[in-house]
Order: sequence, then structure tokens, then C-alpha cells
Amino acid sequence: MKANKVKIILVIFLDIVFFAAILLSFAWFHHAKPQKISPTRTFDPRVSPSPSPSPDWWRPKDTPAAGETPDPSASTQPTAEPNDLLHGKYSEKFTSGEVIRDENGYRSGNVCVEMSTHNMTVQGQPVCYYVADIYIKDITSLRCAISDSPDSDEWVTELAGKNNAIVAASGDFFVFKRSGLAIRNGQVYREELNRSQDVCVIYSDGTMATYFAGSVDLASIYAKNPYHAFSFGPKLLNNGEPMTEFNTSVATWNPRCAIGYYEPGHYCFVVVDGRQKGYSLGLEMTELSKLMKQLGCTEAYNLDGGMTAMMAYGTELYSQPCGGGRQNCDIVYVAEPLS
Amino acid sequence: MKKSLFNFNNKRRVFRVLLSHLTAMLALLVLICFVIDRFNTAMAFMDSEISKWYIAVLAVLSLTSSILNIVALWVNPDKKRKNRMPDNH
Repeated sequence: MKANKVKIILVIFLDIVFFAAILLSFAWFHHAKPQKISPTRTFDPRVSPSPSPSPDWWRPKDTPAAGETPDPSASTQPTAEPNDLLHGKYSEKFTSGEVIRDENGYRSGNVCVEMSTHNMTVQGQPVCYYVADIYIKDITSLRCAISDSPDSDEWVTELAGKNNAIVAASGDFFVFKRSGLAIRNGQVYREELNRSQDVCVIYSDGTMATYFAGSVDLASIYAKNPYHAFSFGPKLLNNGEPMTEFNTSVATWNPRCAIGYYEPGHYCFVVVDGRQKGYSLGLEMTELSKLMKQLGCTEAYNLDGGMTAMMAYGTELYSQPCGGGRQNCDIVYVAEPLS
Repeated sequence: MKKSLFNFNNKRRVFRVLLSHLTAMLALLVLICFVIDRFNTAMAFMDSEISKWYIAVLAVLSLTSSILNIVALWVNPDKKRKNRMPDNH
């Protein structure tokens, strides 16, 4: 009888150990193991894909590494004068060429970034959020960067510094995930639409479109020459109007990071601090949606939030992330256009 | 001679016991994935490549286990029935 009891306990113990091993192996292969990904195709032949030193693991297969001799037969990138996305509008926001940079923003002949900090009250709790109002003449001023290797995340400020970013916000953590369309600087890293995720695409003509999950196919995105595609979500505005239902399970008060769109060449990054009682509660998705509408956006898309949500102005942290934030594998940033 | 807690001499039995436990473990994992996928579809717990492999392995194990059971019942149904009768104890 006693032997039987010991036997049963031992069997249960072994089952638990074995199940834990299976669960851990699943977690490792499903989302913990860093992915080694490389671009499968490149869009926008008008400009070179990236100004920053491209780490090996995300360089296009046909691009020579640093120090290698480029293939003379390979097509060279034209250096045509970039088209003005804003068609001469907001000319007062740009300078004749000189760079003016202070705590309120950055202005040059091609880029204007206006930084601002705002406070509001939600549910009787204070909420602090940061807006980077962005005007760019060339789509290559709105770029993305990812960390040097797939298994080493970096701080937003580090990635911003490495890429001479004027302003940077955390991205969609696409390396961490196993599905969802991922296009960065015209380079396609993952050609797969996630059936349950809304998608955000910024096209080379400066337009930004957000799509409900399952409402768009790759062919129609590719036909319009995408420059960036994010797979996180949810989409925050529907036909320019705030929404009440979202394609997400994380809709409660949290730190948030979002990208907004007004018109070609005019965008904004919004980072909302949260989870800090007495300083900033964070926003629900409905409140974030309303905020993006209040800011005047016609399209808006939620990027990775929580501890990841961070904004850097130059190489300085601009927001105050909860718990000091966390390292990330990708950023979306604004810089001077590619020549 | 010291008696082992588990009888490993009957390899066929050991194989069937291991098979049953492994099947149960994988079934539990798939069930967990199914539940958490309802709450966070973006993580694709049921759609990812690794999930598909786990489900495939579960299917193979279940199939093997089922075949062994069917064969066992088919080959000697009377013996099994008799073994369960109280008179034999």
C-alpha cells in the first residue's frame, strides 16, 4: 500500500516535471528564442534602404557587407532630388538649410519636429503624454532601425544615437514575434499577414493606411510600394473617427506608444506614460483613440506599449517609462533624409 | 534481490504507459494554447509553426495509442472482460 502511494506520488511528480519541460520548450521555440531573419525583398528602388550601418542579420542578401567590394554590375541607387511630400505646405516650419535645435524641437530644410508634453486627467488620475509632431519632405526621413543582433535588444536612446535620430519611438517588437507583416525601410522581413492583427503600412508616397485584420492582402499592399509595415495594433481610428471596439486583449490603462498620420509628410509619435500612480495612469485603448482624433490624425496605429513604450529626443530619453523602460529590438525614428 | 518500484521488465507495458503519459502532457499543452489563444490571438499560440508541430506529434501519439488499444481489445476481448470480473480476484 505504501509502495503504491510512493509510486503514485512519483508518477505525478515525473508528469509535472515532464510537462514543465514540454511547456518551457514550447515557450522557447514559440516566442523566447530570438529569430534570425533577413529581408526577402526590397521596395522603393529610388533610395538606398538604410543609412545606418546594417548589421549582418538584417542586410539584404544581395547587399555587400562593410569592407566588401560592391558588385559593379549591381544597379546603383539614383540620387534624384526627393519629391516634397508636403508640396510646399508648412514652408514656415522649415529653414532655408540651417539646423535649429532646442528643447522644443528641431528644424532644418527638410525636417521639422515639434516636441511637446501634455497632461490630462483620466478616471481622476493624472496622465502624462508626449507628442512629437513631425513634418518631413522626404519619406526617407521617417525610418526604422533594429538592434545589432536578433538576441540583443537595445535601449531606444542607443538605437536613436546610432542612427542619428532626431526623435525616436519604440516600434512593434517584430523580431520577437513569429508572424505578422514586417517591412522596414522598404525591406521585407516577414511576408505573412497575421489573421488576428491589424496592420499599419506607410507607403513610399507618404500615405499611411491602417487595415483591420483580414481586410487586406499582401498583393494590394505590395502594389502601392510599401516603405514600412507594422504588425502590432490595434488600428485606432476608423475613417478618421475614434473607435470603441478594438482588435486587442490589452485594452485597459497602460503605457502606450502610437503613430499618427495627418497627410503625406505629416505624422506624429505619441507616447503615453503609465502604471505610475500619482504621475501617470496610462490610457485605455478607447481613450488613446480619442486622443489621436483630438490631435487631428486621420489614421492612427498602436505600437508596442507597456514598459516598451518610450520616446527619445536625440539621444536623451524624453518620456518617463514605468520601471525605467525596457530594451527593444526596433525603433521608428525621424532623421535627415537619405541623400 | 531488491525489488524496483517500477516494473521495467515488461517493455511493452512500459512503452504503453509512457505513450499514455506523453499523450496526456501534449494534450494538456494544446489545451492551454487553445485557451490562451482566446485571450491573446496576436501571439498566434495555435497558428504558429511550432504549435502545428506539437499538434502533429499529439495526433501521431494519439493515433498510436488508439491503435494499440483497439488491437488489444480486438485480439483478446474475453480475457480482458474476465480479468475485470470480481470472481477472478
